[in-house]
Amino acid sequence: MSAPTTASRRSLPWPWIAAVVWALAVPFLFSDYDLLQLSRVWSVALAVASLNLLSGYAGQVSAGHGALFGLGAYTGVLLVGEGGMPWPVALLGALVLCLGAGALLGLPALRVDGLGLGLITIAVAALFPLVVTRFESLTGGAVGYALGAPPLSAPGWTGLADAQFAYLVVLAVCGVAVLGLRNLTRGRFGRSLEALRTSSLMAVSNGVETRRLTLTVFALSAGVAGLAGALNALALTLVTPDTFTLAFSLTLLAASVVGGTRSWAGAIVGGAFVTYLPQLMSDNMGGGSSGQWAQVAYAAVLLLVLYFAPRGVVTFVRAGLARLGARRTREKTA
Amino acid sequence: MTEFIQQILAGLAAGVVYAGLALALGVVFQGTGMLNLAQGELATLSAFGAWSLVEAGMSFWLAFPAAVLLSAALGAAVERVLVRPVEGAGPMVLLAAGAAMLLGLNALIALVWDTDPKTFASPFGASSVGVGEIRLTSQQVGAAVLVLVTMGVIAALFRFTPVGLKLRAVATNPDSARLLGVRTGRMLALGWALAGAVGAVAGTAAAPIAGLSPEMMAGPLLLALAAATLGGMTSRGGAVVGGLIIGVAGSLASRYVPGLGGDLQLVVPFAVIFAVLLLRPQGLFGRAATVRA
Amino acid sequence: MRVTERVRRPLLRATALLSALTLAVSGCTLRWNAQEGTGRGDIVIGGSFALSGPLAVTGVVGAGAQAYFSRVNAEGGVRGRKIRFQLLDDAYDTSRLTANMRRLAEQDGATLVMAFGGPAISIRPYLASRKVPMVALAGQSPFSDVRAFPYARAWWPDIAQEGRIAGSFLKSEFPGAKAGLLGLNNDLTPSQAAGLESAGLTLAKTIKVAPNVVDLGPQVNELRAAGVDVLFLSVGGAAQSAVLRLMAQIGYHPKVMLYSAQSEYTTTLKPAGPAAEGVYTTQWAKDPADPRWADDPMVRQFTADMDEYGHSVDRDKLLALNGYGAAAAVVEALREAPDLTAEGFLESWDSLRGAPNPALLPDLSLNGGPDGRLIRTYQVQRYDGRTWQRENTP
Repeated sequence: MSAPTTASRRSLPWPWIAAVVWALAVPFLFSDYDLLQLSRVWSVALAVASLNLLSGYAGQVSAGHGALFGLGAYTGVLLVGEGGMPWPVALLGALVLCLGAGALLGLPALRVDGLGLGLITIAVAALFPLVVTRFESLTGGAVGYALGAPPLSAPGWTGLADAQFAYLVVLAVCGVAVLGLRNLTRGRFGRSLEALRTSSLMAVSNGVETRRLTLTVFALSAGVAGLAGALNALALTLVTPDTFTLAFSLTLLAASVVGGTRSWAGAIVGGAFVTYLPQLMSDNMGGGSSGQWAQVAYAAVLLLVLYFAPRGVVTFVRAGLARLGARRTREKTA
Repeated sequence: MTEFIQQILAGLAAGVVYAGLALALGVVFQGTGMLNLAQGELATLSAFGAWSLVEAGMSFWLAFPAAVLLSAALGAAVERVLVRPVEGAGPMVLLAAGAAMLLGLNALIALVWDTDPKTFASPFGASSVGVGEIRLTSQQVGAAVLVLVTMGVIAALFRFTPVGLKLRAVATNPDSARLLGVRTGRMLALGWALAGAVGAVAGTAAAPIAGLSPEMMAGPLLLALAAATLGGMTSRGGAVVGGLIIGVAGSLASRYVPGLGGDLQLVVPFAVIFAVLLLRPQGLFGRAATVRA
Repeated sequence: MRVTERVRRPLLRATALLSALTLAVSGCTLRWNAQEGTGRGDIVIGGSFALSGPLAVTGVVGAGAQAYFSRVNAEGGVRGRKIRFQLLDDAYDTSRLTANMRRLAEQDGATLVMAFGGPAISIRPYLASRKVPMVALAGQSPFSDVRAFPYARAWWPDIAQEGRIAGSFLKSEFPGAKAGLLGLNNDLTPSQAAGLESAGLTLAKTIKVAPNVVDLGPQVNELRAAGVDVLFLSVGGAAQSAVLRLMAQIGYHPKVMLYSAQSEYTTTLKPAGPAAEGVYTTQWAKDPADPRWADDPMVRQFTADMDEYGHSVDRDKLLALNGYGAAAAVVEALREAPDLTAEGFLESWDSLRGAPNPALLPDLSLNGGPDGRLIRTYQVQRYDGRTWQRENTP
């Protein structure tokens, strides 16, 4: 992606088109439960994509995106449950609030980087559930906040089931947001980010306003993460503090690395990886301590992926396909 | 007043453990550039190892050094096998590797030793020392001595031995160290081994107080991160001071800061992280790196 | 990093797409195959518990339930039908619990589901909308609100009631004492505090701590400095016994009342050692590790079943016997039910009268009522260093 052409900005590559067709067919093929799981995958994938913008494209570290995801989730659910807002307003509210939170989180990034930023974001992630639990009158405390009726319910004229409608809403919002991020990183903004990532000194000398750019990218990333959180919570119809722990933030980080921090398709792969793998593992291991074994297996797979594909599964597969293709041509010419 | 002094003492006693873990974090970070989120879990593993040896009938004073040595070996092995392949892959990959190890070790510990808390009988007895209501348990005092002596040994090793010189050379400038003939790979593994050993001391010291459980180091790890930030990742003395300050700050704040309370005790160390990073990113005792373009 | 032009070969594309599709579909159920309720065949009972994660210590309830259901199946099942117990892991994360519950209700056609603790509170609206009964292994007061959530039932008695019984015992036993509460920052503590105070006990100090904070020295100092000499302790995990040991070592000896679910041998009494001698608790269930029950036929049966069905590791645990008892109550209600529908099960659960249960203290029995619970009695007990002894209560 070193030399983006105008063509690549306008046209989508074929795997994306296939993926879109497939994603649209899904709600008419699979059960409501699978649609819920897939909605979770999409929303987590969007959060991972927001993290990719920050880490893969802007070169910043965040171990605290779980907290932003949680902030968006709480904002979305409370706007619907307490504010009586329709869901599009709730999504917008979550987006806007998290944009602000992200700009705040970006402030320390102006002074520290790498390790320091990692520490600050770890702190944010660890504190979020404690603070949410404390403000019980608003957030429902440790028990969380459950909505009485599913907010993403299908309007009558669509003839869809609620789960189908919710899936399509999540899919549409996530799709548009990821597409937006993708185009953003391929334009002028993307080139400024590239300069910032490689060397802030070079960026300055090339006329990039690094401070403003850093804050902008933090705000954008956080806003999208919050949007993802709101989608997730509205699809699940509830929020609890136990969901948004430091462990969840680290899971998002792992998902980002697994898919590849500079790949949008990778965000989806990563989202699916962290949503399905723990469950797949515990489903296929019986016995009393199956949960622990599943966690060991999950960690092992994660380490293996990091070991064999440190730049992400998508890059790894692409490189593999390229090698395969090259060999075929050799065989043919021989 | 009595309670105030007592709270400070309790904070210091807790801070010793954070200091030990912070030192381990710092040694690894200086060498590998990795924020090792699994350091707490490695320490837990060491404590369980020591406990198993004691349960098998070994005296604590044999089991303890054995556990420390095993942990050092394990630290080096983890570096060689799990970390070396991804060492150059950037901070995100390293953080993810740490998180993966954290998850894996935590579940392995639960599988081997079960999730029930275990008692680690204190080698220093179950009494206390002090005046009137101002008391420290003998274990708290013993643990503090144990950790501080270990830290002294580590500091001396870094300062006065040829190996220490090489370790410092690799930490400050790996490239020129390599050019000077230092085997950097070996030094990185040694750093991890030292971290494993220090962590083992911290874990074994904490176990009789807090009890052994797979989760015993989850909280202390966060506080050790704060301590290392405060003291400066690159400073071994800083880790000690940072750990003690974080311990006391947490203890006093939960008691005396209105509206904070025990459940938000963690806010204090993290407020410290924020303040330090914004005002003095290299920590109280760390050195800032200058960038030459 | 553009993929080379050669890769864009039809064959490769097709392979890649096909494998991606296969992967995506492999775990899914087709819309028209998803089950809706049970017809004939097995009775499906779902369970979602923390089998991993920081609260995995509570996951043994699943093992206990599994052992009981397995024995029932070995003896021919319920009303001639086998029970299929679908045990899932939620790691105490409510979003995983929610997904599990949807799967159990929509995909597996569960007749009823079982869950543990606080997270189960939030799932009640969904289960009500699907008309799937839930039996929660939880004491939180919200579960007594059967009118608002007609499909949720609780296996444990109400914690507020435990607080009330504990409070009136402490008040009459130690008149004029200064009481304190040290608990977690979760949904249990408010119920406990309300219960204690409803018995007329004034709490001079209530301290809440976050889970995972194992060193509670500052909090113990605070209680001591405030002159608290009667303490209700509910911090759970390793901290529960650590607090007892610390207090003994620094010579601070208040009268301690342990929360019933955190007074068991394996997690609290054994790790606390001699420091646990003289503590009180309120009990309704047996602890399989208590030497009092060494010859109890029901506990022996439990131990045998745990061995038989592969859960020997957990056979000393109170929560395992508790899950076993919950399963027994469920089976009892299924046996007595007019039919095997959701409504039939609930009606039967609410109208159980004097039914025995392996997990209960000897002179207690199961009695349904309008609050959806089966147990309303606690006995105050004192630990003599070896076993629990019943105290006389006013």
